[in-house]
Amino acid sequence: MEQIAEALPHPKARTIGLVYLLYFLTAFLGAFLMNGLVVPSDAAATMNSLLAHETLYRSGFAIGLIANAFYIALTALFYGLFEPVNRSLSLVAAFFGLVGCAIQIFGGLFQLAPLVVLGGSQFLSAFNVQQLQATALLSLKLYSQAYSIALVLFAFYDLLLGYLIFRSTFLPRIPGVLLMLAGVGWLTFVWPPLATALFSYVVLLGGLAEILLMLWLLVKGVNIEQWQKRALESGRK
Amino acid sequence: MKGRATGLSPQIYARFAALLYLIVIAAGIIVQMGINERIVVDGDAAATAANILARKDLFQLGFTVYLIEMTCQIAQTAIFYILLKPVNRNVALLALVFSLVGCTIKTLSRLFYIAPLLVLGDSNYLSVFNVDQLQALALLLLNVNNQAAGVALAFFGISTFLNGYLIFQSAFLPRFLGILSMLGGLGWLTFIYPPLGNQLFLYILPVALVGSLSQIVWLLAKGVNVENWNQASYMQTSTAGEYR
Repeated sequence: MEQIAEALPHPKARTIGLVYLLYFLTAFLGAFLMNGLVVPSDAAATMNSLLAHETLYRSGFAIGLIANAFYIALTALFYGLFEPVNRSLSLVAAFFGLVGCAIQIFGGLFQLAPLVVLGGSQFLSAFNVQQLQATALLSLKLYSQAYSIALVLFAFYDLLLGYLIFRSTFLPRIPGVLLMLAGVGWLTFVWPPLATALFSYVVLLGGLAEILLMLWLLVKGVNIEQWQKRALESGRK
Repeated sequence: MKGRATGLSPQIYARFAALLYLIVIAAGIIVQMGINERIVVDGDAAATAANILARKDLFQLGFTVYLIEMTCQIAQTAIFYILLKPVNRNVALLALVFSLVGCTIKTLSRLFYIAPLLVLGDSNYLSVFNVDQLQALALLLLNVNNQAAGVALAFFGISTFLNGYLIFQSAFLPRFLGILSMLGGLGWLTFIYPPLGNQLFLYILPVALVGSLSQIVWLLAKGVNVENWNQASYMQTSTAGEYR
């Protein structure tokens, strides 16, 4: 019996936990490096600080991209982990995650655009400095807007992932419930004014749910026996 | 042993796919007819801007409906893949990928739909532009939204055509649905050259709409031929040796 279990595919829970951890580390580092450079509603101050700390800003951006790459890998890994619970739902969830990542990455274009606008190219002298600064700040606002669109997709990702965890039998139900609640929270981004009002609660809940899930995967992993049982059942059907 | 590759009955997938498809189509029509036509005045930036500001909530609602449309379309893409995979896995995968790329582009295009609110909001930092310029920028952004959605349509054209081919080849859905879907797909494909797509839009739209609606009605009322679907699915798993 043990030999059979050995021969069965193993869920890579620790690997997933590790990729999750790397995502969190890079995402936080990227945000930390860029933090404080943007002064909302003051175009001149924002652009002066961006240009003064261009290297810092660019490194923060690059690390943010790496964080996105980790999250794409994570999406694929979660698909494999939850395939035995429900293949179709796991597939739909993965697509939400994937499109969400693609939108975040594309949104990054608007984080970089200010450097182009303020780069001092000759042809841009058709605008005066204040106008260029305002354009650059507008671009940063577009980035936030793109980010909120991605959050709507991540809302559905969290809802489905939370449900899959809840039904899994190889992970505890609590992170599943928390993740579903976080999904409901991110869903407020379909109506941006509501999202702005509730933002700090939603971030807190979302962060808590995801960090708990990451720690569990990293420290405890999954119940391998249960996972293999589910994998066998789903294959036999 | 009668093979069943997936746990759920294909009938549930069929109904769910139809429902999502219906929401996608209804959402597109609602925003276009109910909101955009009341707010956007072609070529008149000042009137468009005035309408957006006067009906800010309505405009915001258009964005919300668009986002709901996109989430439904992503889920619909996945379910159509599951439903049509037994016919030919590779073609179904191709259709899936094209549709997913289309969904990503279309979702992104909505960033430019909501952007006019950022430009026309009374932010202080934008006062370095005069009002005419901001209004022109707002209309320009709305046009970019249209252009980007047009790019997405070309990708949907390919996936709709491929799905039509799969329906045509399948033994569990009637062939006329496949033919209609292929015709609609070819129509959307004209958006590869946007001037052509825009010029033919009024002819393409009814064809595509008839195709989509007949698919929705059929899937809701009849669903798929379960026996034939199960057989196709079983044949595929046993020939691919994918028994796990």
